[in-house]
Amino acid sequence: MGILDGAFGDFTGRIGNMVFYKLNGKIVGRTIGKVDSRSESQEEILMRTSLISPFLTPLKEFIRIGFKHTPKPQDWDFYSVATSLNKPGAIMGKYPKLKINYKKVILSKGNVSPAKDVKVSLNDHQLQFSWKPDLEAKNADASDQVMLVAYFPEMLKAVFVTSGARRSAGTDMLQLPTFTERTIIETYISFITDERNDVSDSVYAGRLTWNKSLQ
Amino acid sequence: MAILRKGFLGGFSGPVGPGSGALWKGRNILKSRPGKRTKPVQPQPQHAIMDVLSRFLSPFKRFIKTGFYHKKNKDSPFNRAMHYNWDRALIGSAPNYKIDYKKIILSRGSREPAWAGTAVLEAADQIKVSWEVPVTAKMKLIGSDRAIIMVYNENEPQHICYSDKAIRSDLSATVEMLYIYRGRESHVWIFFVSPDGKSVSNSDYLGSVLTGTIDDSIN
Repeated sequence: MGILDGAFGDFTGRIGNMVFYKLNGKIVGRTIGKVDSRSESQEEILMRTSLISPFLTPLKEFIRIGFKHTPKPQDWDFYSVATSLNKPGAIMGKYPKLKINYKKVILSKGNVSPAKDVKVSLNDHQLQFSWKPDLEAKNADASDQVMLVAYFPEMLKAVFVTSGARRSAGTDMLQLPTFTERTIIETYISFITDERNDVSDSVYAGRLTWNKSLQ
Repeated sequence: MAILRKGFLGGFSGPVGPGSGALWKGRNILKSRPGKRTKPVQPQPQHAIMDVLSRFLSPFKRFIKTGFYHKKNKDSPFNRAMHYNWDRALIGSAPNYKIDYKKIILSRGSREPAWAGTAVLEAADQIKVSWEVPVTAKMKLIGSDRAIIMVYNENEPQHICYSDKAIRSDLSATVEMLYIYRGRESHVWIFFVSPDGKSVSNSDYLGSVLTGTIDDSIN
């Protein structure tokens, strides 16, 4: 039985095969029941979600900061922005051979000048990041702090720093945990202002491989 | 067990005493209980999965209760664990399924997982498990999480050895093993749970250890 809510004529509850309820401040309606079959494009969307959501889960606290000040519709949160950017953008291939394109992943979006000439090197469980400070660039400030991400696609885990060295320092280091077997590391870099009110677009810094023989 | 879909005024589905309720052509009907099956049961692949997986998971039940805890969901944690592992953690084909120990998941959540976990044999019947906390993690928040370590052995499939006393900031824990575990590979899993028991990490497989290979007389 649907319940009429107030003078504006909002239903909540079930009427026949339709269910109405409040979702993010809006009344939404959908049909209820089991889904027997899906079209290929629906299957593709499911597959894209199943690729991107395990990827974003370990980085949730990072994208919470990365998309906090990104312009978005009123009822969206940081995760909506992250999925709406990465679900179409950061996946390559054709269904059913879809893969995450780590080069195109976006983990933060804003007006601050992004990192330039990024270099990453790996030595003994430390990732050494370096970038060109380029303080003359628009929206670049010496007091901006760096945000670093190291993501391990095989383990579906990540380590990250959201308040690293200043932009003027030009270099910072990210301590990794110890590994026992060969590990692929995808790295990203981004900046946040000292006042924490804006971020830069994230930049893909490259793929590194940790190997036992390297050490 | 009959389930009342519309409260006590509506129809119900399932057997109650000698009768059985059902929805037939849009009407709620009551009929006598169905008789016994006369044809032999045709073995289906899902029978084999159910057998292997529920046998394997049942000794872990008390930890799955924490590991798959969810406030809102109506199904039980064990149910969710079965569901999650159903098409992920098995190798082979019907009816000879085997458990892929590496892929078994015993807890699922968003808390910081165990990093660089290792399990080594310390004494003949003791496994030492150690882990790391990355410098980027907030130790103040997650330092007092309980570490739950579970050890499974094919010698004694009805029973698991465990340790749930250590906390994350200890960085290691020791599990006392049974004598009967000797001679076969013991498989080790770990996950962390917050002090209030509401937030858990994903479980990690730490590999297998052959117990009993160290001679006690040396120590």
